[in-house]
Amino acid sequence: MSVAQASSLCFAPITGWKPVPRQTTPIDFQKQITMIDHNDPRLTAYVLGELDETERQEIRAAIEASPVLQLAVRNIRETAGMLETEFATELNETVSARKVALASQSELVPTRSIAGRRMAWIVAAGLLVGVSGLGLWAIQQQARFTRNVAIRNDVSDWLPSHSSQDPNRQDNVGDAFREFSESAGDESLRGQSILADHFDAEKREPLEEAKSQQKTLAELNGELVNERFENQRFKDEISQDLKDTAGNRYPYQRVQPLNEADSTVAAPDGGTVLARGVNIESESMPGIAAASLGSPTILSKELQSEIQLGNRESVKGFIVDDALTGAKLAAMDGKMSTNGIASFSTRVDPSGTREMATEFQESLDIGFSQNSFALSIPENSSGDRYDPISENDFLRPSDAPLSTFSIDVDTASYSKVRMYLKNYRQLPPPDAVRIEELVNYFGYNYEPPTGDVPFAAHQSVSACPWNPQHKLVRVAIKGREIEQDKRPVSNLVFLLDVSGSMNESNKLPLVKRGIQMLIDQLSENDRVAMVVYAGAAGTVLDSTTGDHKDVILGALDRLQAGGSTNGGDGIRLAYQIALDNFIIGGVNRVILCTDGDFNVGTTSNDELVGLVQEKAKNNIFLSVLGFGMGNLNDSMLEQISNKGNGNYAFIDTDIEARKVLVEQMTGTLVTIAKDVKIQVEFNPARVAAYRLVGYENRVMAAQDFNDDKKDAGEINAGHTVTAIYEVVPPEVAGNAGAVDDLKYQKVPEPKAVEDNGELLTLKLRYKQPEGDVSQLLTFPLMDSDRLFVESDRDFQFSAAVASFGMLLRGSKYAGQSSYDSILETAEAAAKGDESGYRTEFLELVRIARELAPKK
Amino acid sequence: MNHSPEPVQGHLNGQWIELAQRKFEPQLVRYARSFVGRSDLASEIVQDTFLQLCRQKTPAEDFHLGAWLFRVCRNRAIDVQRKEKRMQTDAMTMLDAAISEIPDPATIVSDNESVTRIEQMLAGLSGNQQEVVRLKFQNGFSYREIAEVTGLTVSNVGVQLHTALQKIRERME
Repeated sequence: MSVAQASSLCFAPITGWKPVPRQTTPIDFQKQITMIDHNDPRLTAYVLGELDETERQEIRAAIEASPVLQLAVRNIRETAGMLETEFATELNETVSARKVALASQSELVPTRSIAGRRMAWIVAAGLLVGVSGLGLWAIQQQARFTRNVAIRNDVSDWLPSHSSQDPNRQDNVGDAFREFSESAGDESLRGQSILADHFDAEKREPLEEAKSQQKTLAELNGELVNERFENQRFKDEISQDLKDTAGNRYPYQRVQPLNEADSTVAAPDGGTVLARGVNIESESMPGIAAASLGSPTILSKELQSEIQLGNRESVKGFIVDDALTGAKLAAMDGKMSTNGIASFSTRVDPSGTREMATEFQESLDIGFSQNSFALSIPENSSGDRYDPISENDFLRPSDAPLSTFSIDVDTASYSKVRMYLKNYRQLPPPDAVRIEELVNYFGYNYEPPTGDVPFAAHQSVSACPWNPQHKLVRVAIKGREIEQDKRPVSNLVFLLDVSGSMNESNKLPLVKRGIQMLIDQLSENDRVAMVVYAGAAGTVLDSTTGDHKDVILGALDRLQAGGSTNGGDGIRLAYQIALDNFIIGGVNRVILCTDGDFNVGTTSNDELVGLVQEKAKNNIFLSVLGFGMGNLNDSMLEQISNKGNGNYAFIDTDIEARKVLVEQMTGTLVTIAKDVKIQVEFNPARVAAYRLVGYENRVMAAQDFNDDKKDAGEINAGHTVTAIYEVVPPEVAGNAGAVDDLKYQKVPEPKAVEDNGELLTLKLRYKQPEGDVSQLLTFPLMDSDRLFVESDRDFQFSAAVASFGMLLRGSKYAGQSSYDSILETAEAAAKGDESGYRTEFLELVRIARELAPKK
Repeated sequence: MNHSPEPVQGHLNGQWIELAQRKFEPQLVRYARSFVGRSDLASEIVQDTFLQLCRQKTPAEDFHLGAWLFRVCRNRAIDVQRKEKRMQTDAMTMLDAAISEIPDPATIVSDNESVTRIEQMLAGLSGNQQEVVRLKFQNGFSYREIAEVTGLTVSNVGVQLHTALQKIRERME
């Protein structure tokens, strides 16, 4: 029976999770209360969250009006809760009971496994002899596996004859062999599937216990006949798959015929054989792989690793000398295949092997986090795109009295810099360094606002550490904090890129773990939906309330990468779901997780930006989370997150995922003010020139400050935004001129400048999250001659970060900045850092210091 | 990076199956056991179910793993249940089996398993009711998913569940 047929037999189409049409009409709360009695099944459906919005409101109203129903609902809740608990207990009991059972069974295992091993080996030998030049993948799979099996076995067990030496298994094995020897040669593929079936037979034994052995075999033979009929088609399918594989779907894979060298399998030295023999990663036909591998009671962790190692060696030609490295390498591009192993653990020894498989998985996970980046630099980093940044210059207040920019709460650049330094041991490309994002990555202990305003402004000035004649001005904003329990309900739609390139350890799996962390925080009032996009876009989870964590996690588990990226449709779908489930006064947000851009389909960037911008007007905001390296379109992602009233973060580790999705959840999700613009007016009496450090792509024209149509950044609950100016006092103005003096105009004497001791005036404009009209706040800053060391710890730290950013950018304004001085300042400012972020910064500075070209 | 226009990819990779297994296996065993009454048989049924899963090639677009597994498991369990019944009616078969089979230690253990509390609680319910309760509260399935697994209509699932909860409540009082 072909695989396709098998699936059509056992798998009639299921009408799964299609989006339920949403009730979008407003609910009429004044509606007459429906009369229902306690036998109405909708009460149970209500408790279990099975009603749509309209019905839910209806039933809720009915319950509120009737004490009888209130009691009924309470009873249902109690009973349901009790059942859940009892079922959970039962499940635990089952697991422990089975462990006992298996332990007592273990004495039977050796005989079986020897038989299995021997048979596997014999069949493998036969297969290898009979393999045709086509080099069918499945055979290689089989061969590779059985070779391993054989190698683990005592060589003296190897009997190159078509008979079994094990009297207990003679019938089975003999039959297997008869079948096999008939089918050897060009039909060896069938032999392989027969083999699999006989292993099935072995497994099925207890099930058939009550029947005669004869009957079992007869049934099996029936299956085999079917198998034979379907054989040709099956083979065709595999060939097709091989062709697919050979195409550019998996650029690393090469399909090679099983060659002469492979047949010399008898070599008892496993490593050598593996190094030569294994040609193809098993990913392309995992179903078959799982079904075809032999009788693996003997699978050891070591052996599994060797399988991986074999994979890897053939694919990339690495020289691997131990199993763990092999596993790590295999893990590297996230395409490792535990298929055979995983499915085997089910069939053979449900407790033992499974634990082993888990362990193995863990070792792979270690591989992911520790080695994958370091090993994969050269081919990965090339595709990322960054917009060039031209640094802000010094400006004279007489030329440009106002400095206007939009706030930026993104942190992506810092994560990227960290990835380059820590994982790649490279200095980041200068254009990947956005200084304001580095500075704003860290939390600062600014006082939150009191009263009605959504944020408080904090300014201070001191001497500039990298140019002591200059002054440094910090402008800081602290958003109002919202306690977790007062957080508005959220309606989140995750838009997940599941294109093939996401299939790497630092991408989709990290996305999943991140979302998992977030979901843990959600309550029954929150809603989560998931939309995926690759070749096509689709809903994998319709909007589901936060108390159905199992459902959400289940959908998450099912995600996997494959296909190309077409973000256009996905983003439309995601916005639609967000709109359908819109929570008035809540957080309505699309969260895009991707490693790249929207590169297939008709959607042009402009169109997409337009779409995002339009949806932002409906108060559905967008967060962009970037993952991995290789084809990250940094500028595109930043652009759409800006247009979509959103933020952009880059997630490279679990810790970062937690920071962005969990710790900052209140911050990242609850927008307390939007279109926040900063305008600073400098007092020419105190300032000869000024320079905004960073924010290059956020600078706005002065007149845009008062233009409410001009979009700007958002500030979220608890967030801090910090901007730094370097200011040249008039007494040292000589070297600060941005342009030569004008020839035809006299530079006007600063007329009637009022020196009231103010250095500057900070003006802020913001809109309420759902408002259209901006409000203005102004705060003057008094000049001061404070030394840098007198400034507060946060000030010093942010200055150190800015200084670090300038060094990484190779900025001409870096002045006396040096890694040593940065370290000195930052170390002092990082004291008592409980979050660990500042300590990590110190590490980055040290790495950069090592990597930096020595003068 | 440009991807080749290759929309379909086998959905089964090892990690995925392993996850599925880790997540669903114990529940499936309990579920199968509720049909066949014996843990060893239930385990075998579940093994078969996962084997089926391995053989799946391309899932339908709306492939829903949980419901799929339970449905396949259910069908298999019902088959086994029928066979078991047939065999019990055949005294000779039973005798043969008794003579030829030395009891497996695992079987002895599983035969001694006591009826769990949950099984006691469900005792007064009809087969359908037991099943929907199990699918709902053990596995957290939605009405729609339960309908998929059992072939009942969604509204029937709702009714069955409501009645089942009422009965359980009454028995406790």
